Amino acid sequence: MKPLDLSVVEPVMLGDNQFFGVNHLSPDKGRAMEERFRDISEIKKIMYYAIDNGVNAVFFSTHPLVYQITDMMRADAALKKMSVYVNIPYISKYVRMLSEKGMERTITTMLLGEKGLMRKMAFIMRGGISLARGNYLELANCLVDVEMGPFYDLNVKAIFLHDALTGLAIGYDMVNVIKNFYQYIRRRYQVIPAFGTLNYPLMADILKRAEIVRTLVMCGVNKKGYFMNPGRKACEEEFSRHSHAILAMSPLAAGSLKPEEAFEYIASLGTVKHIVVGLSSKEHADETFRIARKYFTKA
Amino acid sequence: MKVGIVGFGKMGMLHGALLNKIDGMEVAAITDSSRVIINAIRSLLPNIGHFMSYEKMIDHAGIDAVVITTPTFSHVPIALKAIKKGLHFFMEKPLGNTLSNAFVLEKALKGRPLVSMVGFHMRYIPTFVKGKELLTRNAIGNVREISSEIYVSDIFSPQKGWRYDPSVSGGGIVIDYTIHLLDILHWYFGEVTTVKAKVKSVYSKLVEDEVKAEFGFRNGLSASIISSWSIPGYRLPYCALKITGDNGSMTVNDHSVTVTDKNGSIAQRHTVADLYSGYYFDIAGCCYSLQMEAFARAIISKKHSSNILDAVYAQRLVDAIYSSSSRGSAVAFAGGPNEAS
Repeated sequence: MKPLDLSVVEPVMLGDNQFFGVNHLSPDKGRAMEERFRDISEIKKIMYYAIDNGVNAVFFSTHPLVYQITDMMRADAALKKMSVYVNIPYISKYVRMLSEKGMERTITTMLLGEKGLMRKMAFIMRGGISLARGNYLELANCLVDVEMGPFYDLNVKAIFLHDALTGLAIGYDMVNVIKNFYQYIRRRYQVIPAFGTLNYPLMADILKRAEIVRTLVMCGVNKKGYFMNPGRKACEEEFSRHSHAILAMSPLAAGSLKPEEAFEYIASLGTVKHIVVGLSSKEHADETFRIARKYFTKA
Repeated sequence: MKVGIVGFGKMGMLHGALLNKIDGMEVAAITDSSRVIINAIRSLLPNIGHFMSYEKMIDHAGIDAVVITTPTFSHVPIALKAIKKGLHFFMEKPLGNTLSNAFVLEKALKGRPLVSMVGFHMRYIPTFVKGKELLTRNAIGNVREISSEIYVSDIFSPQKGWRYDPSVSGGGIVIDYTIHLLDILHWYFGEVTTVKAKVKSVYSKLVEDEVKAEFGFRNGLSASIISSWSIPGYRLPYCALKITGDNGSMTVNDHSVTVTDKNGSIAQRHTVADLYSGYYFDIAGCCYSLQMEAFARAIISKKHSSNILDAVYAQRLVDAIYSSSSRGSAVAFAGGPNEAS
């Protein structure tokens, strides 16, 4: 395979947590946001604020709302051009289903959940055969395709494996799961296979053992050390030891840092060139993106 | 130390992954009743033994400890088997589906130098730890009033599955979820003397979906409790306490601890980002990492450690809530230690 072209990764991305009611500091605010963003046109406004500020990339998890959002993007010339970074799977959905249905029924429900009769049939065949043959990596690939369903005809740049799943892969040392994801995403989607993690040094280690020496990794990077395990210093040191492109998540430490201070710190590391940041108002977007673009510009 | 997991659902997977990254701990065997899971383990985790019967795993896998993450009704039988074999164990909350079951386990553990832990992970959430520390340091003066709530947006139609069958689960939201808050209240404010409660089913057919309760404590305090899993707006679980004292008030939730003075100005505020200190490995929240670390450390250092008395206490509070609700009046709650009968 050709080496990955990581130069296509945008320096600043619009995150999506606010759309889905995730606010790590204030659950009340989170709930108010979730209510507001049920109206898709509110999400569209925020995406336009990003574009107006020169930010043409958006980061999505596969929340149920994403079907409506991606339909809206395909129908809008400017939004359709945006780069899309997808984080799969939408973990809350699986956690809930696993509690209620158990593993077997979760898998079948996911495969059956696919839209369109033909696609549904194809998934059941492919998933069923993988399951019968005990080919669990192929089954995982099948679920990747289900998750990617809503993103057709969009400019997808990278597909991330969610940090909870990379966590399990690290915990059980499933090097082959990491390797399979990487190879499948490259082969099937020809985009960047990327990995989310709360544990960068352990992630870099398993990637190395999967012979993945250079890809895109999203992890906590912020002055407070939030989501930086085993600690801020250890992560900072590890960033410079590898060739991965680092996408900083929680750059504002869940809203507890001001953008100027937060971005200055990340830029000062010299090893982190990309950030994802969520916001919910025009004023906030104008200010945050202005400061972000001062520190993070395309090389 | 070799660990066996019984029940490889989401919690079993999580605890096992966390244990595997602690020096000196290793997941060596897994029991699950699902053929799909067993085949997946065989294919993806070839170095881990797989069993369809926990008895066989406990007898033959050469393990030192068991993690029990099965439906509630089987917690106690599996733990009893582990105790008989001299194995340490961790089990998910609640301890059992009935109080008498919980007493059986308490009795069986008496005098056994084993590490046992029931998964009350909220005691490891940094904001709740900080809240306890501030109370102990008298940050708001003498406490006068407590109100508390725990919510999640989960149940909006009748559900199928063991959780909603009281003969298997022991009940609905109170035993499954509110129990975390009951444990925190016991931890923060001590022994309970009276319980008045009303439970309500909104969508579920056989179990309750909501509860309102009032606890009286031995120290004279009282606390209100509201809990629901059928309320919109809480995609993620949410627990909060508002504690009013002579010198101010304190709110503690999963995200922050805020102390306000008598004039209503914020005296101190600690967010989860402030309190997050870097952990050996975080998958789904540092509280789970800290919990597993405590369990592993106790085993490795051969320190007898158990939270079984607190777990039984929480279960007694659950039982008192059900009994007050069915009687329609307050019930006296026998203070002091648990009474295994």
